[in-house]
Amino acid sequence: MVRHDFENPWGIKDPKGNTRTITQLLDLAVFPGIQGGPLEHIIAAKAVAFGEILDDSFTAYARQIVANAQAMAKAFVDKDYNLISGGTDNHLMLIDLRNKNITGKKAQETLDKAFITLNKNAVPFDDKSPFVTSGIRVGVPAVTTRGLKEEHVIQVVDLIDRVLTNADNEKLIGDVREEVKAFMKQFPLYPELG
Amino acid sequence: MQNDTILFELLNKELERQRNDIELIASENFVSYQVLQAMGSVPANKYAEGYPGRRYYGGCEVVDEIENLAIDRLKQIFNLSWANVQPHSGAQANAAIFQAVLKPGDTIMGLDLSMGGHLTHGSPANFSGKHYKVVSYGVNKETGLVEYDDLEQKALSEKPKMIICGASAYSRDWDYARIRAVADKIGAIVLADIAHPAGLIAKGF
Repeated sequence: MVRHDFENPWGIKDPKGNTRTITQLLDLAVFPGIQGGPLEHIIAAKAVAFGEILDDSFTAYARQIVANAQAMAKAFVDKDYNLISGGTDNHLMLIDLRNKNITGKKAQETLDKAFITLNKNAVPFDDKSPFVTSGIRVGVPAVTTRGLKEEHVIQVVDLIDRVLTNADNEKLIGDVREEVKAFMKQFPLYPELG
Repeated sequence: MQNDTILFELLNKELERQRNDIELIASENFVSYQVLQAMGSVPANKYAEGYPGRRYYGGCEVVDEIENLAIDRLKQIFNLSWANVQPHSGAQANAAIFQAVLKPGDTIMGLDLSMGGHLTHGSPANFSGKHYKVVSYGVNKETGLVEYDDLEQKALSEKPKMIICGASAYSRDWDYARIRAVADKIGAIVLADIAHPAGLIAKGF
């Protein structure tokens, strides 16, 4: 994406001797530079998605994403989770779990068993390998699309905390899994698919 | 031909998983049903090397309209003069920008992967770190915020041809104006990789 096109500063010219603009160089770099045929069905889907963004309803959705991220960040901090930078301005947060005595890897794997899906993530100045890590990354766009609001994401933080503070308690993890399944039934996904 | 029951059972299994889970991966979302329908639609059959109005194959009239619709909408969202909607993914888009702007061996700057940066911003495991000289910047140990002073110092001494901002795991807004100002001091291109916050930026959040 470019707003103001400009002549490339390196003097690259087209066969007629005209200096190419930066957007000409970018087009040439995509095709034939690094790709062949475009995926026009995917481009069709992008067109639909862009149409959704242009709709007014997307403003409320974007606002809800920020509200959910803020509510979730506060709920984590209230439970003594260490958020990198102390909070969030966007849709995600990065949490250093070292004060909770659990690695990112173990947190991800344990939450997976409870049907809570997120990823382990290195934190700045991490002392563990990228395959283990000291942190997790938590993002709210997907749950916001499902329809979760602030009060719901606070409940999600409770569920996560219960699992992470009882990571070897298979019975509790199984209970949380059933709770998660029942909880998400309130927020249908693709009812069109039956 | 018989229905592929093996594959479609797997698709149902994955749908069931997505319905049951609390999905918190920051780089994931659920597309709308109409986006899903468009993804599994007949342009999948079309080969269309080139760009709308200048293709290498016949029969591209309708996919030209489709691609132009995507481009026009994207331009409208961000008030652009140009957009390219062909990259198959964000990594591809970044690879194209590298190819357009840089020569192998040129210097780039990006947020260190271990500090929240993206693989394609100069990680040694990725093309961006293999074929270019990488000078990374990081975040402050105490505040967790991007070290703009350090970024500026390194930029002035190493003179990268391109400075990349944007991240995979950074929860704060970027000071794009500051990075632009640093780049202008050394004549560098700025690549703002807004893959993560694009939807928020589109609506002014």
